[in-house]
Amino acid sequence: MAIIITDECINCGACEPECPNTAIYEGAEDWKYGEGTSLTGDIKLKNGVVVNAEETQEAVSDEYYFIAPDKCTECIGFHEEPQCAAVCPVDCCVPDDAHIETEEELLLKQKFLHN
Amino acid sequence: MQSFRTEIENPIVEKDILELERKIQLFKEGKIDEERFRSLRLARGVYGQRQFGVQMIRIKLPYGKVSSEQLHRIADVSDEYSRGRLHITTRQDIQIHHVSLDRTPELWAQLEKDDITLREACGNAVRNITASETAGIDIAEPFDVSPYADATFKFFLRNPICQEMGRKFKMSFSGTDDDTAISFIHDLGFIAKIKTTNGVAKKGFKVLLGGGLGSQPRHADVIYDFLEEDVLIPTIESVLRIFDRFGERAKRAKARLKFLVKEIGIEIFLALVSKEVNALENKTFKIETATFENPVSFQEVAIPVVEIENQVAFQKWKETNVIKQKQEGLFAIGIKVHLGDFYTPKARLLADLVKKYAANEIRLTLRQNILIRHIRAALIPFFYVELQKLGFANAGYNSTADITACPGTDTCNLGISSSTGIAVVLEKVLEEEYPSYLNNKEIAIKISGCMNACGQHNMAHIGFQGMSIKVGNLQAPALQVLIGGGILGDGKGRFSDKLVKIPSKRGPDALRILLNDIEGHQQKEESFLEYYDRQGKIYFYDLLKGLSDTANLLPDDFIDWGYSEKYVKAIGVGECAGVVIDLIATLLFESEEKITNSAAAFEENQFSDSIYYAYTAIVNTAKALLISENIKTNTQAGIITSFQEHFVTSNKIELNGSFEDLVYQIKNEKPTEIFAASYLKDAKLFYTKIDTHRKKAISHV
Repeated sequence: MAIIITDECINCGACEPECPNTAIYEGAEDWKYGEGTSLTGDIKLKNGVVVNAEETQEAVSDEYYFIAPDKCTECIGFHEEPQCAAVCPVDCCVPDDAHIETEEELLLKQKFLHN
Repeated sequence: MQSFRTEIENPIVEKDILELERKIQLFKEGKIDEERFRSLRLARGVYGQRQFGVQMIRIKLPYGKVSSEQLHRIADVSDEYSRGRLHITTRQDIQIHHVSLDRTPELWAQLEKDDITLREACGNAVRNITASETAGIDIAEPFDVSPYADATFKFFLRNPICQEMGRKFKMSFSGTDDDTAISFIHDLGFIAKIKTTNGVAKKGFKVLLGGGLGSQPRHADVIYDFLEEDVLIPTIESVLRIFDRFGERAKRAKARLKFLVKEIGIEIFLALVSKEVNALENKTFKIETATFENPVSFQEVAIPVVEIENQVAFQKWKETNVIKQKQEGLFAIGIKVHLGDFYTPKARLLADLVKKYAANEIRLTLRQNILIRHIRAALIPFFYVELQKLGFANAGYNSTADITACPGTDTCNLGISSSTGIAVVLEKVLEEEYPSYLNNKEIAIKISGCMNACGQHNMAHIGFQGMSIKVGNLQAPALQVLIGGGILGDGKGRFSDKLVKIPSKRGPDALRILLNDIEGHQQKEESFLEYYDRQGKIYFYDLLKGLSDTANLLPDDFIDWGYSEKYVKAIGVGECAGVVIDLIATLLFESEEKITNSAAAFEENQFSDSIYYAYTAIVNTAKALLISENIKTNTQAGIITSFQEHFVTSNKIELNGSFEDLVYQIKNEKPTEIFAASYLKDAKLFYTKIDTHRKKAISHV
């Protein structure tokens, strides 16, 4: 599953530079699939939707740092444990029940993001 | 009530203090916006604290220099308005706590009697200028950086170009290549250098730009290997002007200079800086050093005869706490101040001692200590005995056992878990179990209560940062352990690696595991950092990983160090930056104020100041209109471009020429009287135009 940042976030930004997929953004910030990944042009997401990797996506949260679930691999393929959770000073980067994925799925996602 | 009014000699200072008093009154009557008031009081050293309804006061002490009279004054003020405790910060300030807001103008007026200011100690301004505490006495220094730090402080205090920047701005001066002022973590860091060309030796600085700690540390870039002393002030001024114009203002977390430099790149930043030279009143600025070069003078006193009972302890203290000065026969004595806290009765005795037997000057240090300078060799035993009486003669000045810690959850709103509590315990571990580290000046341990890094934990060899950890429904206080940071010298440094997060109560075990490992495996000629690099991050992670397991926590793990009650996570919002005010009416009102300031400066023939006020009035006015149409106003440069695009190009507002041309006269014209007059006129006309436009727009609604 992906990691989600809860509303306990204190907006410190410690997690942002740790993410190997550039999946973490500051609240209210626009984001792109292509940032920090090797994705370019039109890409097909897991749910079948086709988006452009350079196209601006809307912020997931306006108030707190957020994780784009489709870019989060829980650090699989990079680190032993999710780095955002490891450095979060208030322990608010937690598994996202709405985005549950197996280790294989996450590994595939990691390959999809960085081919 | 306002008996202090007549006692202040400097009219500018008096005006400042009266303004603070007036604004406090207006705030209490609900007549000024709370956020606006906050940014005003912050720029006058008045900060919130964890305890509701009282203030922390930050006393700005440039390069940590304090005379006996000043120390007495600060002690008196602390007794009268605070609680008698003085806290030395990692930026050479003194903080006092639990002060009532109403009494802050009076407190400030008291301090000014001995030439001590609160101005721009907090807020989005040029913060205290720091310097190596050994500046002026260091055997290795090419020259004394104190006069340069002093001139920088004086030049930018109350300077209109840096009163409302996007974020705070920190500068440091290092006397030698050891870089004890830590230039690589500053917005601007300076290291003293001498350059000889054609047989002529010139003073100057290696200059670093865009560094910072916090949750996203950045190593500063070297922008000049050698910058001549006469262009020091003009260069700083140009950098501040660019930071003011291009710095982010809407997103506070991205507003420090380091983010701007990261975004546009150092080359573009420097190109912008070089274009500012036209706007400067001073193309060169000669810094007066003579007053710092007077021979050291002493009171005529007989040298008291003292008897030292424990010679071993005395020798040990001498080894770790006494530093030979470059002045023949003189020595400096380091006082290890536990957590940077000391109390007024001792402060007064110290002040008297220094006045009578030294040369009436101490320096507060970046490691929250005190350095007494100019002690004659024959007086060292006497000082040892006297300092012992004050509890100020503990060995291990600047050693591993001399731990740096921010106040953390004791008084700070941002603290996540206790920093001082764990510091006390770790010092005890070192003294009792690893006494050899009292002599170790290589490894520094630093602790911060949160990621903002006031305790500089993420550039220390061994660092700890306050956190909280979830265990089911419960929260336990926690520490992140970091290793591998340090000053490498000559402007280079390293940030430490974040290794692992452990419950706070296991902090001492973490230190024991580390030290035991070092003692078992570090090779003789290997430095700590070399050893760390040889083993690698994962090796140390594996060493400490066991401590992170939360499956087996005991009830005591839920109580933080220094507390007896169960830990409660309580984190407030930082206020070191004033929050952005977007009320259009407030903005327009401020523009009027800025125009008034511009006119006042013009009357006093301060043309450069007048021009800058007019500039901020124009930008602020444009901002008001942009906000009324929900257009982003993150930077001044962005405001200027957007205003042209949305209002001028589209003919909503008619100007003679483009808006860019109007505003940027500031960088294209020299700061002459003629230009100042015409620019002020432009600002007034523009304001009237926008105000009329706005009123029309409202009446149509």
